[in-house]
Amino acid sequence: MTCDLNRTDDQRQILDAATAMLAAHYPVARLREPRTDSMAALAEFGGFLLAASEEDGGAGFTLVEEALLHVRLGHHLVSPRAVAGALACRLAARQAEPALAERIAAGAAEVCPALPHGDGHLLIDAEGAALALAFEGRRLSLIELGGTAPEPVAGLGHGGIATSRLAPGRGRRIAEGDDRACLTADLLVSAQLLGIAEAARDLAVDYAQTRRQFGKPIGAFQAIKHHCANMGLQAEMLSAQLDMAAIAARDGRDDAAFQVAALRRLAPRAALFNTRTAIQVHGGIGFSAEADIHHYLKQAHVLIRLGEPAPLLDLPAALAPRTNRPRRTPCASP
Amino acid sequence: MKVLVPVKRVIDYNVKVRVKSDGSGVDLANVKMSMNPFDEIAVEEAIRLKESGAAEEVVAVSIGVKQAQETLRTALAMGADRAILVVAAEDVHQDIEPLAVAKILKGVIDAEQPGLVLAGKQAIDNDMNATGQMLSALLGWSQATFASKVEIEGEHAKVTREVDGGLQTIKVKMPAIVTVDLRLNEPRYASLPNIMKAKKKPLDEKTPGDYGVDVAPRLEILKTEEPAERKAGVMVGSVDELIEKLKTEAGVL
Repeated sequence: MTCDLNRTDDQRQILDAATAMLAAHYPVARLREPRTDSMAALAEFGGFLLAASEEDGGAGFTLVEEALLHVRLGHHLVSPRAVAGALACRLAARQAEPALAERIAAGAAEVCPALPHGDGHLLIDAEGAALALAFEGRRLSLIELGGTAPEPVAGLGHGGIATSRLAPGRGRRIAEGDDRACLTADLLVSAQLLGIAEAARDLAVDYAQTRRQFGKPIGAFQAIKHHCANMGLQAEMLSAQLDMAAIAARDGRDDAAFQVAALRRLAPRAALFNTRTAIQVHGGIGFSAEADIHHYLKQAHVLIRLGEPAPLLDLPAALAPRTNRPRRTPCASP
Repeated sequence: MKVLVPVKRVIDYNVKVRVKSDGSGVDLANVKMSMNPFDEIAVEEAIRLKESGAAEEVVAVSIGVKQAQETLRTALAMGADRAILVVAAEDVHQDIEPLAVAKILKGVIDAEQPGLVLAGKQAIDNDMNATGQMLSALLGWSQATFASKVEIEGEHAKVTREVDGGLQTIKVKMPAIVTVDLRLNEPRYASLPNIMKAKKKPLDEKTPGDYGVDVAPRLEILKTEEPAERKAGVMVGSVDELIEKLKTEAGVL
């Protein structure tokens, strides 16, 4: 079995255009101010209908190109609403709701991801969303939020990802995903995790070239070189697996489910390894809000939960929602 | 009115350029190539003229290697209507000289009869800043260079030019050659549906022979070398110290 993994002219053009769009509308610097990403620019770019046929109003490309786009979205930490929107479009279209699919694709109806939480759901980045896509194990459900008012929960860490609770029985399920939708979800979520792994590697390498200690850049020291090389390994391994899985899924090959399962296994590991290592390479500043690297770790945790729905509240303490935790009183001066 | 936009495939502006070990030029092997940024601005302006109703058709032209069709597809995805590729070289390292490019463009213009040619002021690879001016001379058309604003007024174009120390506004008779500067506009990026639609737009392929032009180089490159490495700066404690250093060390005051 052979696969051509070289980027085609189309793919290079898509990546160039996506890079320009993301630089204009979703620069990473935007994360320094707490706000919810609007999906309008991504919708106008055609990001939700990339793999839909031209007859269905799409761009007529395939899952392979869509995965490449989501890698770039991962680089820019675009809200998980992007992956929810892309999947919700498919669910709506398959459940004979073309008008709804069109509204989602045009950015007129935004979709936020949701995770099971007790008997209800925890909505991620729900501000202004009309719909929620629930990731419930190996099942996807599209929920119309209607006039329901989710109860806000403090976000994840500093300048965090906004979360809110949707009470049990609220919202109306309007579409369900099948195995194919789950496979697509796995691919797109893993693609974004690859984007995070690559971006973390790049941030760490840049920092290692800039930060000087003992008269030379810290990247000149073998211990830092090893970290950077290991991050490179993780990203390349995941990138190769994503290509294999996306091609297998696009071509409907027999091994598609296996390749995607392998991808699901590798993606969280690579994303967490790279973000954690990048924080370590950054040294002290890596643990502060001054460096952007912490955003990547948080987004990785959120995306991983979409693939394997462990409770979001089980996140490490530093990232867990700050609910009614008492504030520490400053020590009195001696 | 038809607008013709010449576009050049150049080394991407984000790429750190490396000089070949024998000093014969820049290493282009496995290097990301893109549309010359000034040409991107020219394409954007042509599309805006079409959107405003001042132009009816935008034709992009590229002269170079076969791979330049990728650059033309980008122009088509941005909104150009059709494209012409003049395959004038087989080796990616061969740069077609400005005079040969201008002569080929003259041939294209004779065939296409555009009312306006919008070109980048220069390519970021060889920085010649010559093709637009040579083309104007070959055609005997008006020229307006370094444009930061272009307005079509009937038979004329009002062009604001970026000149040393300010702006100059001139009025040129059409047909005209306008070379564009950095501040004219912010080029759009192609949307995904437009990238797909661009694949169906016509792209004609020609050769220099079709226009009777010989592209054999007339210039000889003696040496290409990297700029000298910048020396580290010095922090000064006060304005007085700065003035003292400018007087005594730099010798500029």
